[in-house]
Amino acid sequence: MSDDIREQIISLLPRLRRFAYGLTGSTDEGDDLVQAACERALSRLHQWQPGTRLDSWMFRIAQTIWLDRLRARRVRGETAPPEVLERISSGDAAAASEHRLVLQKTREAMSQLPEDQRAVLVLVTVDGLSYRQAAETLGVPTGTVMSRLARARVRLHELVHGTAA
Amino acid sequence: MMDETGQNEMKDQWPIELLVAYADGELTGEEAARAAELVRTDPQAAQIVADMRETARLAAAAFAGPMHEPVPDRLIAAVRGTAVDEPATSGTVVPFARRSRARPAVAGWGMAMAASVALVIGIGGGFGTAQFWDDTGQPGTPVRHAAMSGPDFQQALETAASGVPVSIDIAGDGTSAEILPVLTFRDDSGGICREFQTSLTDPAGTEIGFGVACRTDDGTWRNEVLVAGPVATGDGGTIRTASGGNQARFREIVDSFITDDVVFPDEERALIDGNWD
Repeated sequence: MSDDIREQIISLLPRLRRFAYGLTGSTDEGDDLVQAACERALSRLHQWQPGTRLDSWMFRIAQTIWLDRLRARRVRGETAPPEVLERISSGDAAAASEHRLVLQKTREAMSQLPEDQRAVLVLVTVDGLSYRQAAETLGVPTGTVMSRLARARVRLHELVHGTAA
Repeated sequence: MMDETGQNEMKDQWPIELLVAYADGELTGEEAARAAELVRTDPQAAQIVADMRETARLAAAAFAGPMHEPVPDRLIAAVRGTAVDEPATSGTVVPFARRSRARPAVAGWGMAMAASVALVIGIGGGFGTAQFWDDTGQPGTPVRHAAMSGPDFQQALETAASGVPVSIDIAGDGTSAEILPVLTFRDDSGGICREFQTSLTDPAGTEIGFGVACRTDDGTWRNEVLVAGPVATGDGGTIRTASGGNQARFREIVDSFITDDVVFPDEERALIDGNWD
């Protein structure tokens, strides 16, 4: 039983890493977050309810840890370090330089969004969840997903295309 | 429509949440019809939908890196301590003969594709003789959705209202699928067409599709376009593709077929009751 869940978590790792990369803006910080999420999940396997979505559970654990970390940083008077924004990710190394610039701009723009909007944006546009699945993952109503997502998308477009006020 | 006037004008004059949800394929029935009609009649609404889809493609591509690289050993060790294969994703357009309309514009795919997944596309061929190409023009991999044409599929499009999911046996071979009619519209020659979404699951995995089928003179529904691909592994049975960026591209192709009058639910009900005559 436990081994089976571990296998399932392992198969979720690529998506978890992508989600954490989207949240943190850094693959290194994202991987730290994934590791912390895995460790917390394994220590709380008894809370996992078979038949419910394991990916939603893991995403939510990762997001909770990330929010805790941001809160702790604020308490310590830190802001998100600028170096968490990587210049170029290895995944698009082969793409044209103009393309890389646009993607870099996208990552920078995403980092400027409010945390609650970014989480919804990553779940829906990066991971491809439906609004309902994203709402279940974050524990918010679908209407909240819709409004946060719309604000995030409009803002992202403005930032990427340089039309923001 | 993102000009200097920017965000406020956009928010004030257009139903942004509706258009974003439409761009994401989240609407059916009345709302889908309302959004589709707006997109058809208002170029700025159409531009907003295109812009919002672009944001999905960009976000998906910007953070795709982890899907294309091995998971660091330390993470696997944190869970179990054994190696794991990286899941692969791909997508395929199952092409069918188009009727009078021109090939939809798919320009702009290449850019986002380069950094996301190995997306396989193809347009052309004829019903029952689907052909597949990848984005470099090489033969691609067929998907099981290619069989989506059986009696249950016909029956669903013939009788189900938009927004009502129907379970079907896609080709009479025992492969079960769910089909969700999204909205109904008339093509430029007055014929009836329906946009739909599908998901099918068999032991080989789960595939999802987005398509448009039009009713022919003999009363059968013929696929005009069907964009389909497998979902990522390890997803616990999600009915979505591996990334929202792919979906935005799928939706863009399918939407390019909606060029004429949108049929709202009341009229659709009457058409279904009257066997579409």
